Amino acid sequence: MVNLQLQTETTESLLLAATQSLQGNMIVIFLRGAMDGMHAVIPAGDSNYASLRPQLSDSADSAIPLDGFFKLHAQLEALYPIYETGELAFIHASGSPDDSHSHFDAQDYMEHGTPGIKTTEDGWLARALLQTNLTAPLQAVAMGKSIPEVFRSSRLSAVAIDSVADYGLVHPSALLHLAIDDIHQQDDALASLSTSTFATIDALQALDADNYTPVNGAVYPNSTFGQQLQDVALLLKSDLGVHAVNVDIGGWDTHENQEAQLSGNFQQLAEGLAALYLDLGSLMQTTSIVCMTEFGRRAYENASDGTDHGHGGCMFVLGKGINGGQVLGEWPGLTESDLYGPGDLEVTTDYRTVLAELLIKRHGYQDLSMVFPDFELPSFVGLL
Amino acid sequence: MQISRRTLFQQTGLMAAAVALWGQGVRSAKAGEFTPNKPEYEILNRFSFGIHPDDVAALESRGPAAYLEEQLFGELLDPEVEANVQTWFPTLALSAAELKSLVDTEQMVPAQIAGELKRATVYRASASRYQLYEVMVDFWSNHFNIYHQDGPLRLLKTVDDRDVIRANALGSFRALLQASAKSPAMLFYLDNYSSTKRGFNENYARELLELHTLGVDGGYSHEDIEAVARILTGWSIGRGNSGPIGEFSFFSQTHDYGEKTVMGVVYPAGQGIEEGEALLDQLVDHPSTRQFIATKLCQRFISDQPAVATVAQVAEAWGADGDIPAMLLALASTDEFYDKAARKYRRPLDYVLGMLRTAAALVSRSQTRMLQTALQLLGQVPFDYPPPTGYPDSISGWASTAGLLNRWNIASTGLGYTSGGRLRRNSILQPEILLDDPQSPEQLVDQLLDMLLHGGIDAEGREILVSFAEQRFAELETRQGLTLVRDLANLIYASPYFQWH
Repeated sequence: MVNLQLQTETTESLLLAATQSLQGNMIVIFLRGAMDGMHAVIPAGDSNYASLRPQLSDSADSAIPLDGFFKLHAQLEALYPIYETGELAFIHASGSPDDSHSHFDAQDYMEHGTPGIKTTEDGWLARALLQTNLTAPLQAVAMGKSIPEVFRSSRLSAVAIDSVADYGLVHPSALLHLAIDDIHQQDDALASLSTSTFATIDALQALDADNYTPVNGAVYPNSTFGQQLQDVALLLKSDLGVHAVNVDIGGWDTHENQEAQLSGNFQQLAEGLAALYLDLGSLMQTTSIVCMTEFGRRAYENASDGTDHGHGGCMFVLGKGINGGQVLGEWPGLTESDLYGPGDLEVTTDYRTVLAELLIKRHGYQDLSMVFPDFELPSFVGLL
Repeated sequence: MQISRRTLFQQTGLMAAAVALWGQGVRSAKAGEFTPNKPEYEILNRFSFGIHPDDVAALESRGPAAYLEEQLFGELLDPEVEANVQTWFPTLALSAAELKSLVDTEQMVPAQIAGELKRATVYRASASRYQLYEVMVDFWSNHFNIYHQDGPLRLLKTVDDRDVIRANALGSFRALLQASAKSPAMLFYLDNYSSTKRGFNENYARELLELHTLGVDGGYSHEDIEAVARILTGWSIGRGNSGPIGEFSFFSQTHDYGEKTVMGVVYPAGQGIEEGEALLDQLVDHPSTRQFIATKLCQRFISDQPAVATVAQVAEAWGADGDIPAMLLALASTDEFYDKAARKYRRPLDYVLGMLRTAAALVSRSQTRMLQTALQLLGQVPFDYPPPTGYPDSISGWASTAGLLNRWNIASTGLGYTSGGRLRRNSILQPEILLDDPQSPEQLVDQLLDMLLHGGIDAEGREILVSFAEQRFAELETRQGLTLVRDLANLIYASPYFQWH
């Protein structure tokens, strides 16, 4: 009952408060499957680290020192130059305050922006957009075939694009296209989706994606993820009014043989992010790229050279003008009494604190009570 | 238009049934409310991938009760279809060791073996008259999801599909769960095979509780997950010297023989494999499990948000062991099952198979490869979903701009349009074979609607189709006639009416 009330209040207040404006762009990269933050940004200086992870800690040997305590996994090397120039920050031991170890609940909680509440039906980024005066049909773009929960809303039509270049109709007859849109208006559930699909076709066909050339020496990895990031750059550089983007990348649920699995994933992630960062150039002054995951992994390794589901993770934030070049957040430590629940890294920074700092200090928001309802903002981590 | 619908039915010997049937439907609708087909059509609508003309004939000739009985307790294997599977996809009959030896001797690569299973799965679902069985195979394949692109899984899933899923799809949940827990593919996919007393791996234990049995709110704690993981230590896969290669093996030397407690039930020290089997029985018997399975069945066959009373009716049919046919019969006995307002969005697999079956398409071996391409574009190739949840089964997982666009395009491609906009006569969907010499735009539209939508349209939607047909009806007598019929079918398949079951 409480939650139903929350929904109603949210909607009413949204209508009243539709005055804020989203300045710049927010790109969310969701690492689905629970990325091991301790394998990405390795707490090599913690005296308990190697004993908790006798096999996995081998990767610390080849890792790149960040600050005397943390090291960056060698396969994330492509990110290091951006860290060095202060435009990439890691927020360690961050995550959701809810202690669910279920991927699917934890992802929903995180994307809905209301950890622990199952009845929330809309995403935090959708609510953030609904508070603005943005009207462009392509303001929210999900790269892929479906709409992630972060954009879920009955009032926001996020657009799903799996490939900009291929976003067109096979059938040659405009008469048929008209009839398809016409007949969709008979169905309340699909009418606006059809309209939005046709609007997107018109908008994207003008972009000439086949002849897009990345700039500043950006080289995207040859993968779906790389292609999607290149499409993101194309969209943001165009005049289509795109402001919020979600890109999913999977393969992080490393219960087994973690080093081998993560090496490939890290390389693809880092090379993709670095290419997008270079390609966007000066747009990065107003664009934030945030990598997040549903939770971190167990502090100690399991019998299969992997890690089971944990709690605290690590977020990446990229942007020109941020206080990067450092690992932010409070390190909770790895002694037995420091660990949380079944042996997890504690969450010392609520992921919403990080997003809130970006929204308020960088993207022009004053009031986040609708974006993150019932969330009392603690002090910021110092991203900006 | 060379083969009329009349001829089609004469060929299949179903003329009498067809005559009785096609009087219903769109043409009886005058103004306002459209008269839907008979309520028992919901059995075909909800319990199949798409209504084939033969399904209608079978239901009409036998009546709903006998039809359902055959769907649940009949042969379940369509002889013609199985004969093709045997010839086209011979690896489906092989054991894990035989599959491995094919790879070791370089006769096949794992991707070919995986490809045979994917193609056979879609072929069976498109062609078998035992539709409910194939639908349940798909349901359990997602419930006990195994991702098909990882190392030995490309071989082991073939065995899991045959010996776990297909062997138990219409049996008891107890037998299905026991088989799945000993399936080498599952033990590998969720890492239990390497879980030992020295450091257990809790991946399978967690998903066993969360996704296979109790549900995430089913009443277990983290301590229960650890206890389950310890009970299942040693449940592994033989590697030649330690049990037959690729078969389930219990490794007593890595099993944790200590005492464990799962949700209040104590498993005393000193027990081996039998405590794992007892644990699975405990899970089958837990009330959360029947509630979870009944909910998922109702969500699959009724709507994303089935009524509480409907779920309760299905859960009540659980019986001693989780009687799957009894639950399906209970489903077909609920009021909501016949409620047109309780509608279900087609997933991509339902969409593609729905087009094939309503157009009475005969799928050839080479066309099964094209179907994989179509499903890849739409995002639902069998066994290709990495997380253990299986593919989403709700509209929110599938309805999107990209989703709609891809469906419209797949309909065009299936009907013969190339990316250059040319129409090929020889395509997988040839709806013109369904026509019976239509004399007016209305007749043309109604004949197509009868076959492709079986009454699932309103007067306004039909009017849009009729006016589309009217503009070009003169083409019907010319070489352009084929284009008109294909375009109308394209409009119907692209329309919102075909996006829902």
